[in-house]
Amino acid sequence: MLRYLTAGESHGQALVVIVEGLPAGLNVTAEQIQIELGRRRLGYGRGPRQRFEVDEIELLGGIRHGRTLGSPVAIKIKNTEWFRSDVWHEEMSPAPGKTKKPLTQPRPGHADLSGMQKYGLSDARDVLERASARETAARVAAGALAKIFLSTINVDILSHVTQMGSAKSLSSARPTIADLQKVDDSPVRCFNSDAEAAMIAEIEAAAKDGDSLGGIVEVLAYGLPVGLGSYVHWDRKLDGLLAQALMSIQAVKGVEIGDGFEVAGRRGSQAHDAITFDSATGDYRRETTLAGGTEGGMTTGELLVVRAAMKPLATLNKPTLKTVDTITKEETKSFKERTDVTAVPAMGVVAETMVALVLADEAQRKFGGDSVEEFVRNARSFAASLK
Amino acid sequence: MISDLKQSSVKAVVLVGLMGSGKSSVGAKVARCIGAQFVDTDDLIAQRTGRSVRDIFAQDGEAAFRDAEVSALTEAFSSALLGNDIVISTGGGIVLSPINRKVIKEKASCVVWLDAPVEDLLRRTGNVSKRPLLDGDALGALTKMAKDRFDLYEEVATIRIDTKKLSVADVVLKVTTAITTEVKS
Repeated sequence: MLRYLTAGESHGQALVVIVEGLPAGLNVTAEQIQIELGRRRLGYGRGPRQRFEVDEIELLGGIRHGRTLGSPVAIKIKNTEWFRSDVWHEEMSPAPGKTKKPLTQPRPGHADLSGMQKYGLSDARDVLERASARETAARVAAGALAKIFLSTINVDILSHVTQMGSAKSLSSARPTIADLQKVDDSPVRCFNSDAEAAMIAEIEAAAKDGDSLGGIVEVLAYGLPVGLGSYVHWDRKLDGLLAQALMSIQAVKGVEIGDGFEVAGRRGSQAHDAITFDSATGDYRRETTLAGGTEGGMTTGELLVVRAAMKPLATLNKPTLKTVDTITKEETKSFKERTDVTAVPAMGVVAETMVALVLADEAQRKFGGDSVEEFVRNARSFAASLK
Repeated sequence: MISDLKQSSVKAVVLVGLMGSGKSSVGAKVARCIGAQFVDTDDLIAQRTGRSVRDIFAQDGEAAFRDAEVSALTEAFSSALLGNDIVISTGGGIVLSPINRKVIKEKASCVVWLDAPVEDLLRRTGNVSKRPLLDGDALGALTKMAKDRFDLYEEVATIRIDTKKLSVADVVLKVTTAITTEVKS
């Protein structure tokens, strides 16, 4: 089992994450984690600071001389804004006190209002500081470890943007790990250059109107073993676990496995992946990915394909959304907390992370092992036992 | 820049052994088990030259074929250098050339010798007409080969697996676990 817990507020001192269940002997450097955190900042229309600023991290435990010890790994991600000015020191201070400017106009489309009601809070900041997607930085740090862990059995995970607003990629070509640099170099993290241009145009048009955009990312996992997840009980089904993990990402409103919703409209004869046998490699194959590499809640050993749909950011620049002040109960306009047009490209990196964490947990469950060698040996013996 | 999160204990595994020892059928399956690429040097030579092994032997002679093997081996190893794990199965006679032995010893992270009894080899090579060295008295030829090449296989191999009475699946399992353990140390 691989478990992790994150803590920290968006404008607090730092985020922390503790990951427990990794085997001993994984080669891990702070730089690898930092680079993954940097990928989380990718996306069109983000300023150079957002793009190139490095999340400063500290490895607090579980790693010695560049290798995991098998003990819990603790990572601290410092909040650079906290150190840049004193503004947030008072506002986010853990010491007893009071804010001078409580936020009482909850933003529609955010956790603000329901969070205030649920937790009995009168300042929306008490909610939004944790509900913010900044928290995903801690998940991405954990996800970097999960990716490193999965790489020991040659599993590669990547994502690309297939839809931005109404601009869809019509190409069915899918990037492999060798194409990841190309995808990351694209300002919208799109693999198809025609679609990329349309997506950028869409973002520019929305930016002009002060509006925001959602979109769809596709996450791909190559090289998976057969049999991660299980059919034996509802809460062990891999597709269910992936759906929950992806749906937990801020602003994600839909998840598809394989052809997902599209399959519902097809006839049965066109909706399933036929099984063939490759005698040279001794593998059962499915030539198509309609089921997205899962059957009965288990991996089939084929390419895993999952998609996540993100709603447009609810904080807008010009056309403001109506809300109500929680003290006066009078109609007002929601305040601004941030101003990006879209976060879809960055969400793709978070989606990779969530898929990696689910797969790493399931791989550890299936193959076990306290050292990397033991884990790899178990995974390979299982693969060989199927030949 | 994307991060390089890859880490793997296997780089390049080479399978050697006499014809019929199962190098190709085992190699392709082992490659799948460890998530590596698979290259068969005979197939690579055929692909690059557009000619069959038998043709090259008949028209250009064995020396020319061994030269082609050097290039095929080098090409296979260079893809391992790109960060891909690779399983390379070789022609039975690859160890005859000192250059090939040197390249294998230098560049392979482990070399597995599939050692099979001559009777098994004979049964498995039965009707395969692409084996030019078995024309005529196959049993005699194989027995002599086994004897002549024993020292050469032993020289290059880091793991020897006796495949006697083992099914292909059993050999795949043995090789897979052996290389996983071997490379670690």
